[in-house]
Amino acid sequence: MARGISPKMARLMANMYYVGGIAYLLGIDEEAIASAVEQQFRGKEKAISMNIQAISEARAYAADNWGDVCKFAAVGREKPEDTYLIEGNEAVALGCIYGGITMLSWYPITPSSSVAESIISWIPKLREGEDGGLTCAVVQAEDELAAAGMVLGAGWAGGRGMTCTSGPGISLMSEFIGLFYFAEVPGVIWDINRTGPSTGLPTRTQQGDLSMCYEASHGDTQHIVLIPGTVDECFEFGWRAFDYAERFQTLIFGFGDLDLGMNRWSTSGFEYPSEVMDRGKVIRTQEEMDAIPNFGRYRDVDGDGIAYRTLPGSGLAPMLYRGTGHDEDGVYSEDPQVYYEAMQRLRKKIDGSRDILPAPIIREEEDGEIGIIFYGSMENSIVEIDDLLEDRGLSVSTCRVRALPYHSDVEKFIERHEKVVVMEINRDGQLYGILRKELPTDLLPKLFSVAYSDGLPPKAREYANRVIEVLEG
Amino acid sequence: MVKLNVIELEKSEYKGGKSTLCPGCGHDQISNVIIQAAWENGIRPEGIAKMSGIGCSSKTPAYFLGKSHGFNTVHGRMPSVTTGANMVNKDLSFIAVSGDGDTASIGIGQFIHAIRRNLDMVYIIENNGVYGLTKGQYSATVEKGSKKKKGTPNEQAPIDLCAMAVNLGCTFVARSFSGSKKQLTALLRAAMSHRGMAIIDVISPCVTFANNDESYRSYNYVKSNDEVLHIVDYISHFSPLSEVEVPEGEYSDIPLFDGSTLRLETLASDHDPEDAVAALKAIHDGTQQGRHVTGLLYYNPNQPTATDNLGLTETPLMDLADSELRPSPESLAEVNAGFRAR
Repeated sequence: MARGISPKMARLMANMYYVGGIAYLLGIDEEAIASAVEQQFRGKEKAISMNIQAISEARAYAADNWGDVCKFAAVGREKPEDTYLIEGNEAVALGCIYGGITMLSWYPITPSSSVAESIISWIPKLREGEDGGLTCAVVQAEDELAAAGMVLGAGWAGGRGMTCTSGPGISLMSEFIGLFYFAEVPGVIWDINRTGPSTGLPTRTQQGDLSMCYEASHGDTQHIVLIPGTVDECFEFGWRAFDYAERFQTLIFGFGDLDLGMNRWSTSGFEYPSEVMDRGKVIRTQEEMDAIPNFGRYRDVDGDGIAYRTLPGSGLAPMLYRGTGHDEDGVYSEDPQVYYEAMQRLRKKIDGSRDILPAPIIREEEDGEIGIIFYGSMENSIVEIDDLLEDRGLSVSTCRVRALPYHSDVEKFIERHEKVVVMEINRDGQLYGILRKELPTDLLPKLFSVAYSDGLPPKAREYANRVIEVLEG
Repeated sequence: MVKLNVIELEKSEYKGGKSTLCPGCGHDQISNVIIQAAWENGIRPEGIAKMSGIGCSSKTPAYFLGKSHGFNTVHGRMPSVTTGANMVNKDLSFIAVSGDGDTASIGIGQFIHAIRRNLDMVYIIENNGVYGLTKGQYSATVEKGSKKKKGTPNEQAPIDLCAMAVNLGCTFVARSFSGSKKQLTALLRAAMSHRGMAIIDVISPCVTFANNDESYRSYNYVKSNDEVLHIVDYISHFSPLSEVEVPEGEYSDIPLFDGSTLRLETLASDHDPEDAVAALKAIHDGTQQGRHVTGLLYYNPNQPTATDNLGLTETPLMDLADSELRPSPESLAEVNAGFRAR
């Protein structure tokens, strides 16, 4: 049919016959289609008329041959006043902008590049300082190792550094991630998950990096991971990540994925940061220094595992930071007791973040015996999964984990339910594994895993069926 | 009476902890020169950031400038950490120490890209041709035919870091020898007065693994094969010119960023440090004859540094008030409106 309009352009127009056919089936208004075509081919009159002709032909053909076969219809509605559409990656970017990012270093990688590109596009509009200069530096690094090193340097020097990447980048950054942890330097890395392992399926989605992020780098390490499930949380965790990084003097992971990051989701508008910036325990004057008894860069003066730090250039308690073993004053040490105590304090510090980090979102059923734990972009499928389970006679409570180490409410949620299924988009059940490692052993028999990943965003039916399968055992 | 520098500090203010390197190590001589140069130049110790990677050389920041913050980072990745710190605090004076393993092998990528960005730092390579901490394996800078104390001679061609830096357009490239205190001090003082990336490749014999005469980087070998390009004198911007000794022969003066001057006294041939091809030829000719060419090889002043073209505020980013870092609530309303569903 397309050859009838233009033999030369036939191939290019073939898809418009599908548009016409589907428009007929769903009863989409002719004018609405025409205005979409006009917008797409703005200014190219010939293309507009040829494409509209193709659509009309297809619509007429469908009307003559298919009849009334479709159960569904597309109906127009009023434009909602306060609904906004945005990609998760742009939401993260804006969160960083409002979080006071002062240095972005990045190396291009799908699907995280649009986080960096979005930050770059917003800096001139939103981050002009009082003298007209910009208040955020951007470096396109030579690789992910360098990008992570730059974040470390920025955090050490008193800035708010961030880089964004995907799984392969985290693998490369792992050496520096250990240095963040051990030398206690603030920084933020956003991991926009794609399907692994290795190069994997670069343009597909997964929650395959969770256990890697949580324990990245050699030796005993543990990192705070923020897991947004909506674009609003992408924005909120975007700014909060810097506060947590400086408060806990460590690396914070933002954990997104391709599905949430590169698709547009609706929001009723981002909320302005509800808290002033938390710059952490930084000593900036001699008076502040004098007020601390027995200062040492790694001495736990307050009993919360978080020591005070000073910045290069300040002249206060100058110190050579190092990734080697160090005592409470930061001096090289291989003393067994010194090492043991340093590692205990680090554990205490990160463990102390549990109930300060975002609490889980819990939707509790009154008589729910079954609980489902999930996280991240699965938020977009949970309602449908819940409905499918209800159809099968299962009433479930849900608990969406929003950070690691997990909040004490997660443990209480498990305590309250007879059986708890941990549902996630990966093969091995990574959150399930983390919970099994950290929960009291008497809770473990309650835990079940539904982990499934084929590269695509979660299909509700797939998960619902598997939940029933594991529960029926 | 105790001698004070131009900002009225004693030299002891620039010293560090006790070295744990092998007695006689060239690296310790370099540490002493760093102390001397920083003191003579009158740099505020708290304004300096000492940076290093991993290796014998990278341990040395513990042995100098004890009043300065520093970061002994990871192997070969010091330039990226320096870059990040420089981005948020461009007022810091970065003095970095690396080795031939740290720079020419594991860290060659970051080294190259730091040069490409013209990162504002002094980058000292303490270059002995061997990995000392792991007990004497050859590094990538060791000359073909050179032989360390144990084992067979090196068969592979070396990476000449100075030649590479010149090719990459590094704005200050010098080579020296840890045993040439006067030359090294003048070059280091000039590097500290330079704005942009200043590389000093310092041949620094490893007394434990490669100080035998068959090693091209032993004291004896370097002393008798040092091809000095010119005699260098540093004239600081705060010392009166009348006190500076004028050489009898020909000389040329190189103006430095902070107003100081590096005076080059011509020796056998007249090397023009602003001529990249001449620098490469001098290095090449020296290598052909098994000789180390030392002096200021290449100088290309007034190039933009890594932070210059970013349009940043005058105040270092880490010094800005939180209010300057978080846009207003009104701006967020506008941002939201821009995403209204159509």
